[in-house]
Amino acid sequence: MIETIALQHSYDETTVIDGISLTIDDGEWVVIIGANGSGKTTLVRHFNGLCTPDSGSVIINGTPVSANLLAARTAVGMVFQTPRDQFVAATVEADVAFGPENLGLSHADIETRVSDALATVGLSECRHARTSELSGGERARVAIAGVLAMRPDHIVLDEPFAGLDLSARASIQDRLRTLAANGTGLITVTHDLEAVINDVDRIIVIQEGQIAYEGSPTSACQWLSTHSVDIVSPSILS
Amino acid sequence: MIQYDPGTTIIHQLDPRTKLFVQATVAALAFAHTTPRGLIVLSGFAISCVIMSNLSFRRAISAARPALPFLIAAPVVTAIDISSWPPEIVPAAAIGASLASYRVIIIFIIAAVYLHTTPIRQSQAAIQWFVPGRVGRLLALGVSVVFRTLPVIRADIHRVRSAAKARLIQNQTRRERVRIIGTAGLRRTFERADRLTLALQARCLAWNPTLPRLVFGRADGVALIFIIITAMFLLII
Repeated sequence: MIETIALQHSYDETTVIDGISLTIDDGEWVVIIGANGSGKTTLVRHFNGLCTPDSGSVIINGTPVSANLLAARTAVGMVFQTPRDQFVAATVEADVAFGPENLGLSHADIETRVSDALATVGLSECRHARTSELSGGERARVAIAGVLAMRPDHIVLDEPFAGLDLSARASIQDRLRTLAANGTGLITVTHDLEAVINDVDRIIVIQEGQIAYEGSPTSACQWLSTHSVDIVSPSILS
Repeated sequence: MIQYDPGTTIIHQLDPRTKLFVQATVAALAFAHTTPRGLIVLSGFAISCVIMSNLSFRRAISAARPALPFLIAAPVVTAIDISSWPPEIVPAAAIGASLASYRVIIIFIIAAVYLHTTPIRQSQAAIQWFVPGRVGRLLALGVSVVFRTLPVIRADIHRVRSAAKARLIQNQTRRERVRIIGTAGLRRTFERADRLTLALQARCLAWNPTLPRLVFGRADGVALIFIIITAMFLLII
């Protein structure tokens, strides 16, 4: 379970997270929406300790992130907005194995995790390919596999559909549904609410560093349609 | 820039320790036997390595590109005799410097073969084997971070140049071109370093990761015997 208590974060003089308290249960699929600069990415970076709060705290499975950074990063995986930023190895196999290697697992465990992760994202055949030679959709899937191989309880996906064509987008949607069905908690930061609205459990709307609304997709759409928030397409609200 | 390319060649399959040992031996021989005969033998060895590793000659030689201006300038400068006026060109004086420059190219080519055939994690494991303890870990981690960072930074700078060309930077003065690409490239380098640091943190970069098993096989034995025979041959001739 992820819990934030009165989380506060500023960049210089600008407050980007302003006292956010929320709870995300295991296995829950939450989508976070908001305008550019509303604090979505900063918020999710706190979940695995990539940002340090000015005040407040983040608690993962009962332990504050500040007390055990490694446990937080193992429990909450982070898929970056640009998969290329996440790649640290020349080949798919080496990149997916990077996380498990850092956890100090045995070679057999690493091998199993890499195979499972690549099978889950449907890229077993690309195991020996160079990461620089993959298509946009494949890169996004390898980035997810790299995080999956660490067997996290939750996966944070920052704009997973950005820059993808329709078939790649559909492929990522399928993989996310599979993960959710297998009990992995998903936290998706996106402007593309249409891609996930039928699958998610909860929508959180962030405005100026605060939670403006949170609720089920149906109630969130009602709220969005009655508030002048230009962050989703009107077609979804209707 | 030369990077690891997955492959199944015999050199890909060699233990990284063998490859590092061969590299060090070739470097030592090139410095100890900077004679035409010695360099011919080492050139043959370097060419064989390039062919066996499935690396193109163009890419292998490109590894030496950053040093080429100095390697070419050295014999030219040596050949100029300034003891008299006007200065005279003494071609014979350039022979030694030319051989010295050439041996550096051979060493670059052998290094290119190593980079082309060895994953970063294997290099990390080999370094930790050669230098045990914390110093070895620090050194191996440093090498691993540098080799992960350099290719992406180079690609970023290439993108900066392409974007500038697309917007007609060639119409600017040379000084202005250097300033624009230099500052944009530097800014992009720092941004990239930040993003890579974040990615390494998110994926739990550790001091003591599980490194690949290093297996010394029959091919490694053959390679070592071959390099030792080559070294002895060069010592005799």
